[in-house]
Amino acid sequence: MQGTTPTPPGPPTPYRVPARRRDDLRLPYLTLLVVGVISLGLLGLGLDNLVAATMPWEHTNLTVKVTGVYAYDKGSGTVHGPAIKTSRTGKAFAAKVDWASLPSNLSVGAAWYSSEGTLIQSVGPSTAGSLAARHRLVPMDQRAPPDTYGLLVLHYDGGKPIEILGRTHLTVTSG
Amino acid sequence: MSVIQAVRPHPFRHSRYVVAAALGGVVALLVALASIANALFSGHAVLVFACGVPALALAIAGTVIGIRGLGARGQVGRSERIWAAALLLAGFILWVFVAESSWLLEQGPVTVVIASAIACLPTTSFGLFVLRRLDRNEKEPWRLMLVAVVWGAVIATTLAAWGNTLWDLFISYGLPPGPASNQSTGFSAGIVEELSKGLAVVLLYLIMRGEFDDVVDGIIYGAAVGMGFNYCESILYMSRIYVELQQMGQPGAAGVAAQWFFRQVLDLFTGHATYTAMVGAGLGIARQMPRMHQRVLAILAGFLSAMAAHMVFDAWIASAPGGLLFVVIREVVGGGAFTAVVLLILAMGTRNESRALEEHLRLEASENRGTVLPQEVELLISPSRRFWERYEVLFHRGIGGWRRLTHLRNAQLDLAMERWHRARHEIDQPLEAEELLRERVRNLRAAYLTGARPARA
Repeated sequence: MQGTTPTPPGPPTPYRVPARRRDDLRLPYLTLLVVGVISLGLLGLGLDNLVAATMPWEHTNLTVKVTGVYAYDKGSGTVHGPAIKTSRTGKAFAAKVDWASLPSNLSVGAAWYSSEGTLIQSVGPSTAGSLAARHRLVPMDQRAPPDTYGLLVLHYDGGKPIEILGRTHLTVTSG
Repeated sequence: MSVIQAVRPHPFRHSRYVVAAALGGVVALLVALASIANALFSGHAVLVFACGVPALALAIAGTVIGIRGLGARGQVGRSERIWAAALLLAGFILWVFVAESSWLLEQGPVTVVIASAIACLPTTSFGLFVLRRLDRNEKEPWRLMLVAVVWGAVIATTLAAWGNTLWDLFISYGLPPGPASNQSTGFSAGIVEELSKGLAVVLLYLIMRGEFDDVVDGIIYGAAVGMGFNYCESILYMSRIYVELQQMGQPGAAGVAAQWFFRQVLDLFTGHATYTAMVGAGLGIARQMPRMHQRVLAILAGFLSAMAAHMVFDAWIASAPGGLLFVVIREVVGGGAFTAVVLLILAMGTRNESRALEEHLRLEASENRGTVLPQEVELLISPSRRFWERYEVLFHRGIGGWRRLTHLRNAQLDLAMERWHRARHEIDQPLEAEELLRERVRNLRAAYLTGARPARA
């Protein structure tokens, strides 16, 4: 126990304090402002990355029709049966894309992605004309776990996807 | 030297409460909309409506009564605080049902969700313990720390989940996968999640001005909100990775352990805790800046720093490829840089706070008012000496003596803090409040010496 002896309070005296020292907070305040300015630069850099990755000035604003997703025979490389919206694990399927509706020299491709955005399987990039000439399907013949898979038809520039031209999805259930 | 007289009530005091009420109303509306949307889209409509709307009502009622109770003294205040705690607890339990139905249970089996929640408890508790240790001079009340944690875990996660969903729908949906999508995700996390968490610190800044003294308090409250958010997010990702790996025929438990390590060990302090601490640093500095434009700039800089730090981590660090060692190094270095800035500002704030407390404790002692004795000053300004004094009293006089001494020391530090704010013209309470605080210190001293219950000031 230290310093706990009560002392009789003296008469109230005016409450005196030293002159105000606002400068105490100058250093943390200025430090935070500097960090804030750097942060603004980082956010600007992020925005620049976003614009550079999408290159809006190269966008065509075209859309392409995904005719449908069908059961796929890996051996023959063909689809069969009616269009499907769901499939089961282990069953291959493929999407039909109307490549012919796009300008023949446009660099395009298509890919299946998991719901988490992981690339599973893709075709292209190649010119829309060459894909149309080969009636190119977009197969998904790997053993995929249950999930909702998205097909994206993409416009490429310099080998990078910059624009989504069309999309569809299919749900794979266990079994 | 200047003589400080009782100040008039601060002209912005009531507008603060109006802003706080408006912000609280917006949050309540958003959470209500989230409940309704859950009901419509989650497939658990009955459960969500049955639990979500009453949970919201209980949370609002508990918050309102709790705020009144925290401001009131005596039996009325105590009764209101008990009511508030009961209402908030009931609302929280109901909300857990909503969350489980709409969120967590959709991510994985119940056992995995519960196991994840239990696994994250010791690490998050350790994080909160460290935060309390960092708050060296005048520790924040546990009740407010827990309010901050619960906001982070419950309200901020709900707001962020819906904010991120809307961001995906309106912005990320139209972007091609790869760098553009990653960058958009980084912006979504930075902007939406930091606003969701930062709102809690803003409300504490507006409402609990008496317990929000300076940059140190802002950082501690902010980090506590971040810890709560990280707790809930960890459970979410641990449950989700379990299901994903199981579906791919891989061991789900390994993924859960890896997520736990990254979120609850590696990023416990450098992740959400750091980001929201930056928001708190801005608000804490604003608390003591004399001019409006300085306050606005400090708050803006805090939010921008938090958003940038979060964006950098999610878009540039976490999504970069690499082996385990590289991942660990990049997370520690990348996240640690922002944590170092927070620690630097915390150190500056703590130094200012220590100097101010010493100055005002010495002044109080020199005025011979029976509140701070001259021989107590050295002890009061040394956290380690205070700790050993309490330890010694606990050993010799038991838990009762320890509690009475803790209350006495806290009240003495509160008094010095009050003098500091009054000297800087940062306080909106009349001088009589300070005299009441002195009376309280004297009563606590008498109670400590006699072992009796302290008389009420």
